[in-house]
Amino acid sequence: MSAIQTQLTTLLVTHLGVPAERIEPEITYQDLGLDSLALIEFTMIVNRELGTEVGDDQLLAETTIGETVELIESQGVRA
Amino acid sequence: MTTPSRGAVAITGIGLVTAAGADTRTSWERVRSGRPTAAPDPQLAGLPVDFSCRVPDFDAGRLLGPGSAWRLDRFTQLAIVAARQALADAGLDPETWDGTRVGVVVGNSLGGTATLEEQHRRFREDAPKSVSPLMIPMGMSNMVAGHLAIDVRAHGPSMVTATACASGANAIGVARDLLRSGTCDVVLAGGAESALTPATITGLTRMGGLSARRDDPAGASRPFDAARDGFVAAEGAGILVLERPEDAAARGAFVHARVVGFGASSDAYHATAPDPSGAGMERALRAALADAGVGVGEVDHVNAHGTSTPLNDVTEGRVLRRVLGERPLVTSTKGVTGHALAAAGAIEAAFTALALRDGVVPATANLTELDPEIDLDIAKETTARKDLEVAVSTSLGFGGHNAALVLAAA
Repeated sequence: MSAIQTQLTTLLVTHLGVPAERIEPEITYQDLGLDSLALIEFTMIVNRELGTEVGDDQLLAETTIGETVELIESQGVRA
Repeated sequence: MTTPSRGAVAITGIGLVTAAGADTRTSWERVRSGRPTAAPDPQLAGLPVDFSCRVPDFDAGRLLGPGSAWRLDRFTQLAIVAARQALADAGLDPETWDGTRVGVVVGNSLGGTATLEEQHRRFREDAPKSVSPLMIPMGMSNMVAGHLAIDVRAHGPSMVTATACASGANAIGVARDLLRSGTCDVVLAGGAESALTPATITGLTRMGGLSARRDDPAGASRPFDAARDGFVAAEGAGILVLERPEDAAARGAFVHARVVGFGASSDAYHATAPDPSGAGMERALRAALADAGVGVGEVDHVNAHGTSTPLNDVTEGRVLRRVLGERPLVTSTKGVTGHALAAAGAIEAAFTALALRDGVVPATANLTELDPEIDLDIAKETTARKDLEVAVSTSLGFGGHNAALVLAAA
């Protein structure tokens, strides 16, 4: 697991109560039970905690954790 | 059965999450013990009024699930937990009922104040982009009814009654009408409030409503006592399951007590001060008794609004004496629980039902010297009264909202 995925997992578990064991690269936010409002909340948390600049419209229901890791890494954040 | 039951509804489930305890049994035991719950509140440290009545041992993540709790303001969390208790008590299962016949009516006044204050802070101190998208759905008052409907799959009418400290009583009145009219077969009715934030407490302090007894928080809520100086703010939720008596009987449900009458009125006098004549409260009380078909001399027990403010208690005391005479044994359970604002009327309706069920009138905590202006028989100690048949619960709210419920033994 990449360092970024580990950090995303921690944020999803501690802030949004997502069960850690469900979080894997291929799973989508929809499958994790997060709706559009929860995804905007999560985007805020990620930007605040990781110093990223993810837009409100970039994490969608069908976005996977793996795609989120790539997005964050593309912004030069390496944890 | 001597008490008329035309239009009565049965209370088949009770859920309480109060400062006296996070469930019905614990709350009722604590209220009967007469031990106050007001205590220094770390979240209010440094304020002129730095004590309150908070619900103890309430772990929303454990009770509601960590994935759900963070999306709900605390007033909604308290209500959902109380509603689940009430449904379990009633022996009703949302998995099997026809949800289109189930309604939800919850009293709330101040909404998600903690959420709104925190998001306002972020807006001012950080940036608009740090404001949560859940600010509005967590903060809106009506969301307590909306979330409750989701939680129990109630597809009938759901709404919030907002009549300040009469909200919980009004909710039960509206619910009663939904059952009487045949609109619903089951209604979850009650109230919820959690507004113990520094800004809200400061607002109440600035109004002069709160007790300033900082050196003795436990003695601060002292309804009808000569030395009372204001109310103690509390949080909590009370939810009742209401059904028509014939439906309750048909499924063999236990009935705690019955709601046999409801009356409401408006002072139309002043935004926050009660009409000193008590005329509005008297109209609500007489309307409730007439609705119940109960004579003024038949009321055995009153769970009074009794906030512990100088003005409320003397005004209410005069009306109760004028209308009901010296017969009823009166209490104010706010001496133990503090004043849970919009939830108070529902919590106290629950305590009134439990008093009728168990034949016991709980003590008015901290009543050591009755205000000489108040001429009522008030329970200083918890008192067994096995023959309790009819009881009244009164609620008065800022805005001049008055409500009275008449309950009768099952």
